[in-house]
Amino acid sequence: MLDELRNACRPGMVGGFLPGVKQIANVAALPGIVGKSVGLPDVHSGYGFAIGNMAAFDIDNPESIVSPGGVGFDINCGVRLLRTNLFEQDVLPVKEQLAQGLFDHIPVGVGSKGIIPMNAKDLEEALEMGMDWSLREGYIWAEDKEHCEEYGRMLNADPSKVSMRAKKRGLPQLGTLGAGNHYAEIQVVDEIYDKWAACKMGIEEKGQICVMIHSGSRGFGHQVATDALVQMEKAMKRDNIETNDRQLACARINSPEGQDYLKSMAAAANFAWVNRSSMTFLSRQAFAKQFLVTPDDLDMHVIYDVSHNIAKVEEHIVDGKPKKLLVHRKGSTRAFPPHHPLIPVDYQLTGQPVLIGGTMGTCSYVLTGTEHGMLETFGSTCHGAGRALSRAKSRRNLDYQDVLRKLEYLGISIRVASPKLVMEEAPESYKNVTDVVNTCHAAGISKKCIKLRPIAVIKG
Amino acid sequence: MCLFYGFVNNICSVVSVNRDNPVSGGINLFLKKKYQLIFKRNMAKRLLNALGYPQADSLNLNDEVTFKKIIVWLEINRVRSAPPNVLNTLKNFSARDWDNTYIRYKDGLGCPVLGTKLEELQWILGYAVQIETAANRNVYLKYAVENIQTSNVPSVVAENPLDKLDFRSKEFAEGIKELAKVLNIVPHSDPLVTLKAVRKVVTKRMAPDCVENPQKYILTGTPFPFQDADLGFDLNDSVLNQAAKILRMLYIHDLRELQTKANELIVAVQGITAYPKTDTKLGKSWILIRYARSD
Amino acid sequence: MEFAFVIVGGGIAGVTCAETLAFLEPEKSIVLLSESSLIKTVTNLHAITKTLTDFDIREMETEEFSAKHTNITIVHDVLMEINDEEGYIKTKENRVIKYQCLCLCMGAEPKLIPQANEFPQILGIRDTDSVENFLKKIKDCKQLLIVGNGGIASELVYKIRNAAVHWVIKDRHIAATFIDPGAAEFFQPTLENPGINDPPISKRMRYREEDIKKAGAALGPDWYKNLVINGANTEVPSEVKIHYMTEVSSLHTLQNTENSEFPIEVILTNGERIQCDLVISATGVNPRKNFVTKNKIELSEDGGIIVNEHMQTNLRNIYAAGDICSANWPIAKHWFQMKLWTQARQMGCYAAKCMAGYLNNEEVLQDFCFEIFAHSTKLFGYKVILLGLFNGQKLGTNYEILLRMTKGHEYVKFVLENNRLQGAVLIGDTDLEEMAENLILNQIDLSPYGDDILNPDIDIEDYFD
Repeated sequence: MLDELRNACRPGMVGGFLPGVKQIANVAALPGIVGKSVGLPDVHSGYGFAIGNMAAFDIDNPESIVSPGGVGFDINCGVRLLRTNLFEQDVLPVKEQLAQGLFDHIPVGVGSKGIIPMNAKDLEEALEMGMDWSLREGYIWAEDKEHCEEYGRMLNADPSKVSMRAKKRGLPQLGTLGAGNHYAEIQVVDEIYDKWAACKMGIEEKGQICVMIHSGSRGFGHQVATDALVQMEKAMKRDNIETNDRQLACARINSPEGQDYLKSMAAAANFAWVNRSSMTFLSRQAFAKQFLVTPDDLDMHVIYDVSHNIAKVEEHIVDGKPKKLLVHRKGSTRAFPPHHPLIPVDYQLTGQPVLIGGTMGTCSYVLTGTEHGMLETFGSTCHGAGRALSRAKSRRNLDYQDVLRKLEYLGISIRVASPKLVMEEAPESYKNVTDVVNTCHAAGISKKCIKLRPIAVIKG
Repeated sequence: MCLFYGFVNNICSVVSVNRDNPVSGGINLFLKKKYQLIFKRNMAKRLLNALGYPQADSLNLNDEVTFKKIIVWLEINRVRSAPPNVLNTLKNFSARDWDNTYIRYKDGLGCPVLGTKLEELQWILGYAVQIETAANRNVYLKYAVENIQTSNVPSVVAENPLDKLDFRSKEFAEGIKELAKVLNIVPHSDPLVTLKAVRKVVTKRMAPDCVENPQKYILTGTPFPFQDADLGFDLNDSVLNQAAKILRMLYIHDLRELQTKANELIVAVQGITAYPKTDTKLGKSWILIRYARSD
Repeated sequence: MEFAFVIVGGGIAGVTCAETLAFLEPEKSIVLLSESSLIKTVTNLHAITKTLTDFDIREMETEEFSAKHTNITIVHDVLMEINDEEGYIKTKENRVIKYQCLCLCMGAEPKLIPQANEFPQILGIRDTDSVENFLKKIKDCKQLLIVGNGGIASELVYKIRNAAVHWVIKDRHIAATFIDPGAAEFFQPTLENPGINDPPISKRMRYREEDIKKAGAALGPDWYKNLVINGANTEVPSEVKIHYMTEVSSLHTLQNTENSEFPIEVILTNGERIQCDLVISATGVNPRKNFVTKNKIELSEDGGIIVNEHMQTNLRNIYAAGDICSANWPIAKHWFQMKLWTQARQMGCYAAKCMAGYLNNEEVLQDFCFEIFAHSTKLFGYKVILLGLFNGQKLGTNYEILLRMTKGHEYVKFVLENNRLQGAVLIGDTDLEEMAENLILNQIDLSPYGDDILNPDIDIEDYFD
């Protein structure tokens, strides 16, 4: 801890927990913020805002801002959980084939099966319609839509605000579904903490098989965020907005830049839902092919779909009065309590399901939202570790001399990356997902419901 | 207040419609018998309170004399429908034929055959509330949703012969009562409310497909212990909380129906628009025509 | 015969083009004109990042391929003549095939050193045919000379056992096509001890490994995977001697009387003389163009057919893709053309999209893969990912290098200009490819991070998520 603290105090420091805390503090000083800038238990540093940060801004305050850093580059990165009526013993003997089947299906392309092609016109429509596009084209079921935040479509999306470069970057690469760091896991229900809530989600017993899909808007979101950052730097100068950190580029919500960003961000969010829907379709096909029954007979319903990187207009009670807020959640999941009007009818009694993906290969959780979380964190909780740190980083034995000598003649300035302070162990910027979930449970901002254990990971 | 109680009373009748109907499931699954009793006792006291019965809170409703006192008080002060001889007998608590007179009296009011005296009292109280509400119609009318809505609707000249029926006539009331009996529905004191319940049962359970494939329509699955569920707010009153919970359940039930209908609509549209472009050699594992789920 | 689409060439570009068309236009007729009876298809396509993919190449009998794609007809023949005015082609066997769109994907042929015509001991390696020939000849070989510094030469050097190898390269360091001198230094130990870093068993399941068979088209990415190259010199452990910054000057036959066990002697430009059994020429390729057109088809300086951003040549309804073409559109800053199987696949696929879009009057946006150079390969048993201006191409000397290396494990090089990432070389399992790709495309100012962007104690991978 001391090492980390010392490390965090030197200039240009990135990565880890303490720089993340500093970022949360900088966010707390942004104009128009309501309540606190909240750091969730899995917080670590990111671009501008920390990953695991929630901050809400009063829409009616003309000074209030929207910041792309508060959403992140991978806009609407999120997790979707499908249930099945299969059990571990049904799947274990065919685990390899199933994983291979999913592998065949998920990263698709010429020479591989199950392509979902998309041309420029399709993309335009998908950006505007989100999951309604997938529905219209017949890739998903009507019930999928109701079990998705925002019903899988942000209505304020405006593809005309999205740059041509972003659209090109979003188009599936040469007939593939779009690639990158999405992955799917076949999981087994390992523990049920809340029988009734689980039951409402169609999870009856330990051993039941689920499929978890992780993905976002990737390159498309990156381009939308990058374009917005450039615009906002100009807007900041014009409107005299000052922040503690240059990475906190932002614009007033009601400025043209702010509105354009929100519209293109919504298009990126829709894009991510189409991505997850396509993966849902392909997963269902893979299971159907393996077990020779329809996905319907396998009861492969979407339990829920959550977004980790998004900004949304929500109504919250602040000091006893309803207020419209722009809630930035970055590496943070919405967790609304029972009876909230924005959660699906099936979860009105249990609260919104919150899906927490572990790092690849570790346990995942389903939580439910609580009234307490609504008051404390504007209905937000953790999002689980983003990516794998679990793979053991071999201690690097850095030795450059020979290499540097060889490069010298190029006449190029060469810098060498090396740890500035020698630490025995790298600071643990990712907390163990179980600890994170337990902390949220103990803090009352979400409630443990189901624990899932992976039996196969399929990386895109 | 009265209107609210009247409303709750209506719900009670809806709830019991379900319970007594052998083919129904749904909400009544969640109501536990024991809880119902306490609920009814409390509800009776509340209704008495609302009707202005003195010291309603401290009454022992199981006490026979108390019961008789209440009946007489209600008749004299609120219902005012018994012929003088009946009223006189009722006033005499020790009369030998009190019970018989009471049965005649309540049948005269249209009270159905119910299991216990408490339930009958409950019904009579509801009846009294209805009279009270009707008497003060104008006061409540401006709060009634129907009125707010209909005020802008142009009146349409009806061609339907049913529209010529006099819903307030005794014949109509009798006919509805008979119909309710056949369908095993507890009638409400207002025949129009009963008619609504009848309509529900007929449309939901008597459609040809329902009669032929009842298993398709009878809900199965694990009931949700809604008593333990968090209401989301607290009215500091167990009975009110209970009523609010029932409202919640009904609301969720309606919402589910709406959502299911929306899904059916989407599926219908998919039938026209869907064209998943993919390798069909895998077989069409995408199935679009599906039964909408209902729970 | 009349077809909607006529594709010429059975290599990666041509076959990918035909397959993509078969998928996009299942109702239309497609003909694939291939010289060989085996054609190459891409399998196990695996997207690593947005623009990076890796895949295997599988050779298929034409019958099998036709069975898979019912609307593709395969014709074994050679293109002789194109009538671009009336829209038909003529073949060696006098077939006349009319087309609506024609795509030329004949690839390129190995560029041999000039003396190749006179000496049977000089072999070019480019396609599977020549590999077979090479394998036959090397069996009796004790000492050989390899000329060229590209991917094929590098892998050959790494794979040859039981023969002494002289490797002649005109650059300062090995594998210069792909890597900088620093990375070459990183690889050096694997050359001194070949095989120490044989690829680990792939986590992905692969199709049944195919034996390398005859074919006319270019080699795929995994061509050497199940190749065992054994020389005749079983006594001696193989050794590699690298001759830097030199080329072949001349060579002559040795007579038995000269008391030598080798048939030829090579003289290098630095004066060195090397005796050997065989000379392998792997010095790159020239676009193949052995047909005539009615109107002149425009060629670039290096002989490639010029195409615009929709892969169209100057002749109406004629497209070109793969090694045969030269990109002639305003090139994105972080992309450049290189004759690689990766780009052959990308161009083949994109040309198909363009042709389909053209016939259907649909707008086709240029594929994003032409925004950034991205190539994934294996060199000396290591995973190698090259992104953007990975060797500072186009940057002159106006750039900085940020480096991280662990001997035997990884080599990470970031090329920075004005504190913005321009290119990257990632060798080993670094997991940095997606971040690097995004940083190059986003052009985010990295000055706040300093060297920490590659600090081994910091996990930066999801910082920009």
